[in-house]
Amino acid sequence: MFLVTVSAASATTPPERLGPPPATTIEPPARAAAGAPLSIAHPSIRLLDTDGNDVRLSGRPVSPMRTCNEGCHDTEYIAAHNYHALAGQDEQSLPAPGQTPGGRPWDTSPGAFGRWNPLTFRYLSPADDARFDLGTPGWVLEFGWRHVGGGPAVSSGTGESLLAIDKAGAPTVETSVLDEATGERRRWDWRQSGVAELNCFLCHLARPANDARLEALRSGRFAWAATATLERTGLVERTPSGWRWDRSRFDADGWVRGDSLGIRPPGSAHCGQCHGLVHAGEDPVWPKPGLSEWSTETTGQVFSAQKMFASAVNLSGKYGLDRPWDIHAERLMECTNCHYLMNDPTYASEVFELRPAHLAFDSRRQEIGEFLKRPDHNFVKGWSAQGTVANSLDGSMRRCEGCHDAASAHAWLPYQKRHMERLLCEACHVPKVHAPARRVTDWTVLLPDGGPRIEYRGVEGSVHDPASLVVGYRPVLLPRDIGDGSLPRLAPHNLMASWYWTYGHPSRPVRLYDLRQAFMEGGVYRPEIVAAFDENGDGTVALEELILDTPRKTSTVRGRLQALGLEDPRIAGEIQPFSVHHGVAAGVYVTRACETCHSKSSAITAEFPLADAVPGGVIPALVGDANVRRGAVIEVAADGRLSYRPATMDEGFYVIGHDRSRGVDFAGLTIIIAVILGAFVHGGLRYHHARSRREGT
Amino acid sequence: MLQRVYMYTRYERMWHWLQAFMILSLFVTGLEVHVPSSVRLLGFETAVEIHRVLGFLLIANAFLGLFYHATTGEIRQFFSTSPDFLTMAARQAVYYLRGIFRGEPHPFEKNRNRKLNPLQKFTYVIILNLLLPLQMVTGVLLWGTQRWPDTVGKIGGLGILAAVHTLGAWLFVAFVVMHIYLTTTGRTPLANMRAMIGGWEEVEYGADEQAGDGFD
Repeated sequence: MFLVTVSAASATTPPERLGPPPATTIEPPARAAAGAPLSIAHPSIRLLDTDGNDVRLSGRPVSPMRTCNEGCHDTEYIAAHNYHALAGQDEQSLPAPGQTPGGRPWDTSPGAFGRWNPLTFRYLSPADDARFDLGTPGWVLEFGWRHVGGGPAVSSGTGESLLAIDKAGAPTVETSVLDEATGERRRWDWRQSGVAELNCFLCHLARPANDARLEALRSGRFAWAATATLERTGLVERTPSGWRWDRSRFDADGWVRGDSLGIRPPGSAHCGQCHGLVHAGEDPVWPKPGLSEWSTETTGQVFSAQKMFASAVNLSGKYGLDRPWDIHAERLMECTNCHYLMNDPTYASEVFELRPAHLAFDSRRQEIGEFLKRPDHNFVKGWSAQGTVANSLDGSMRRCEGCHDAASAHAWLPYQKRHMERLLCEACHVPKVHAPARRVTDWTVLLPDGGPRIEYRGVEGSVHDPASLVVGYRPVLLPRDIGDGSLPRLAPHNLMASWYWTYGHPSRPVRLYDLRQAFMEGGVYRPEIVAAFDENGDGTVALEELILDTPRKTSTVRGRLQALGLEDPRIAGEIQPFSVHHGVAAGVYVTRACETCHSKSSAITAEFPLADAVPGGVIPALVGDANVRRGAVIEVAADGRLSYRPATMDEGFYVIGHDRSRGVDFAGLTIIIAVILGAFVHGGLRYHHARSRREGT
Repeated sequence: MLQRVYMYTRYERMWHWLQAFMILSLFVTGLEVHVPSSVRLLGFETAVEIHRVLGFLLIANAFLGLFYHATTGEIRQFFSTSPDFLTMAARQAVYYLRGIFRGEPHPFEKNRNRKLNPLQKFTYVIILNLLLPLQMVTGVLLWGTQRWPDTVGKIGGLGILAAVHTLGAWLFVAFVVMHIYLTTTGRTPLANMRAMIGGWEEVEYGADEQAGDGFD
C-alpha cells in the first residue's frame, strides 16, 4: 500500500468560536433502512486537484470543480446557478448596507451571506464598519457548516478569486478575520487556507463525511473540506497532520469506480445535513435541540416516515399518535421530489405564457444528457417566510395542488372553493407540530456558556431533559401573499422572538466579542453584572436571574457597553416567522371540525405565546422581509408574558362564526330589547286601563 | 253587532305560517352560525346547511307569495293611493298611543278588502320591499361568495355583507316581536291569531261591505 502523506497544517489559527453545532451525518446503511441513500450507476472518475492533476500523485486536496467538470458536468455553470452556493452574494447591495427587504441597517444581502440572523448572531461586517465582526473567512469558519461551498467561499463580491486577492494590500472584509483575543482585525491568508469550493460530494455521495468536512472548515483548512467529505469512501485517511490519499483504492490509471463512491442524486438525508431532522430507519426519532437540526429547531418539523408512537420523544398522548411524522416521508417521497432543479426534465412544466398560441402542447424537451451537463442548481422554491434568498424564484415549485386533486379529495368540505382561496393546505394538514421549537433567542444577556437565553415552545420543562413532556404546539395561522395575485392565504407558522443590543447610528448589533467583554471577565461574570443580576443575594447569577426584567439590570449592561465605547447602546427586538410546510398529517389528524376556526375561540386569531418575559420592556416587531401580513396585536399580559394575536379581520378575512360587527350586534339587540320593553309597557298599560274600565274606576 | 268574515284564504294562511316558520328557523340557525360558541343546538356545519336551505325556501316562498298577491289583486291591500294617508296613519298611531287605553274602537275597521290599517301597510311595504329583499340579496351573496368573489369584493367584502345581513336579521326579529304583540290588539287578544289560523274573523256588522272606506 502506498500512502501519500499530506501536510495540511493549519493555514491560520482560527479564532475562538461559540460552541458550534455538531455535524448532522447520514446514518450508515446498516442502520438506515427505508430512505437510505442508494448508489446509482455512475462512470468511474478521476479525482483531480485544482491544477487538474491526479490527487494520488499530487497529494493535494481534491477539487470537485475540476473533477466533476472532466467532460461531464459544467461545474462553472452549476456554481453560478446555485443559490445554495451563492447564499445571497449575487444579491448583495454593494457597497451600502441596509438596502435589503429585511430593513436591517447592517444587512447587505437577503441570503445567509449578508443577512444577519439572531439564531447565529455573528454578522458579516459592512465594509467600512469600525467594529469588525465577521469577514469572509470568518463567515466560512462560522457558517461554513451550513454552506455547501463555492460562492463567497471562493470569490469576492466582484467576482475576483479570493486566492488572487493581493496579500499585501489593505485588509478588506474578504481578507480579515476577527482576533477573538483582542477584538481587532487580523489578516487571513487565503493561499494557506485555500478556498472552500462548491462541494459536490456533500450532496452526491451516498455517505458523505459531514463531520470531517466541518472539522476541516473549523480548523481553517477550507481547501480540504471536499476531501474530508470523502473520508467514508476509504479513498482518503485522516492523519494527525491532515489527510492522505490511499492509492490502493484507485486503479492503476488513477480512476475510482463510481459505485464505490456511491455517487447519486441527493436524497432527503443529504438535505437534512443542513436543513433539519430527516430520519430513516428503525432507530427511534429523537430530535435534538440546537441549530444542527435547523428546521426542527426553528419549527419543530421532522421529516420521517416513523410513526410518532415509535419515537423516543416523550410525547403527550403518545400511544394515540398512530401517524407518521410526515405523510410524504411515509409515502417514500424525497425532498427533491418537490424541491427539484429548475431545469430537471422530469418535472418540466410548460410556461404557458411563452407557448405559441397555436400549440396545445409543446413536446420539445431538454435531453437528459443536456440536463446532466448543465443541471441548474437553483432549486425550485415556494414562498416561505424565512427563505429570503433568491426570491426571484419564489413560487417556482409545485404546491400541494400541483400534485393533489384537492377538489375531489375535499368533496365533503362546504364552501370548498372559498376555503381553498383563503387557506394553504398546510393550515389544516399541519394542525399541530409535535416536536419542540424555539420561540425566544435573547442576546441581551449571556449565559455562562456564552450563548443566548433560549425559550422553547411545545415542551413542559427543559428541552434538554428527555423526561420532559413534549406537548407540541398549534402553529399560528398568518395571512401570506403567494405572489400570484390571489388573496392572501392563511398558513401555519412558528414565531421566534429575538432581543439583542444594538449601538450607533445607523445601528449595528453589538458584536459577540463586545457582549462577552461586557458580561464576562476571566470566564466568569463581572462583579457589576453579578451585583445587578443576583436577586437572591447568593453571590451567583442563576439562570432564572439572567433576564433583563429590571431597570437596574438593563442599565448595568448598557453601562458596561458604553464603557466599551459603544455609542447609544439600546435593545432591539424582532419577530421572525418560520413557515411550517412539513410534518404533514392526513386522515383523523387533520383539522376537519368547522368550530376550529368558526367559533369564538377560533384558531385563526388564537393567542400565540411569544415569550415568558419582555427583556428591557422592548416589544418586538415582525422582520421586514417576513412575507406575512402584519395585522396583529402584540400584547403583554399582567404576568409579563408576551403574546401575538393575529388580527385577520384587518387583513380582509371575515370568518363567519368568529368575526362580527359588535356595533351592529349592539344596535340590533338594543332595538329588540326596546321593542320587547315597549310591548310589555304598552301591554301592561292596556291591561291596567281595561281593568280600571271594568271596575268603573 | 258582529259577523263572521272569511278574512284569510287557505293559501294566505299557509304562506304566512310558512314564512313565520322559516323566519324563526332562519333566526335560530342564523344565531348559531353568528355566535356558535354561545348557541349550540345543531352544530355549526348543520346550522349552516339548514340556514342555507331555509334561505332559498324563503326566497321561493316570497316569490310565490308575490305571484299570488299580484295575480289575485290582493297586492292592492298593501298600497294606498289616498292623499290623506299620513293623516290616517297618524290617527292609527294616536289610537295605539291613547285610544286603545280608553277602549275606543279601532279607527279603521278591518274587512275583507281592507285587512291592513295604514301603519300596517307602511310597515309591510318596508318589510316586503326593503328588508326582505335586502336579506335575500345579502344572503345569496354570502352563500355565493366563492362563486362571485369580485362582486362581493366590490361591495366591501364579507365583512360588510355579513354586517348588513346581521343588521337585517336583528330588524326582522324586532319586527316579529312587534308583529306578535300587535296581533293582541284585535277585538280580543287572540282574535287576530285565530283568524290567521282558521281564516275566519268576527268583525262589526256591515264593516265587510265597506269597501273603499276612504283610505285605500
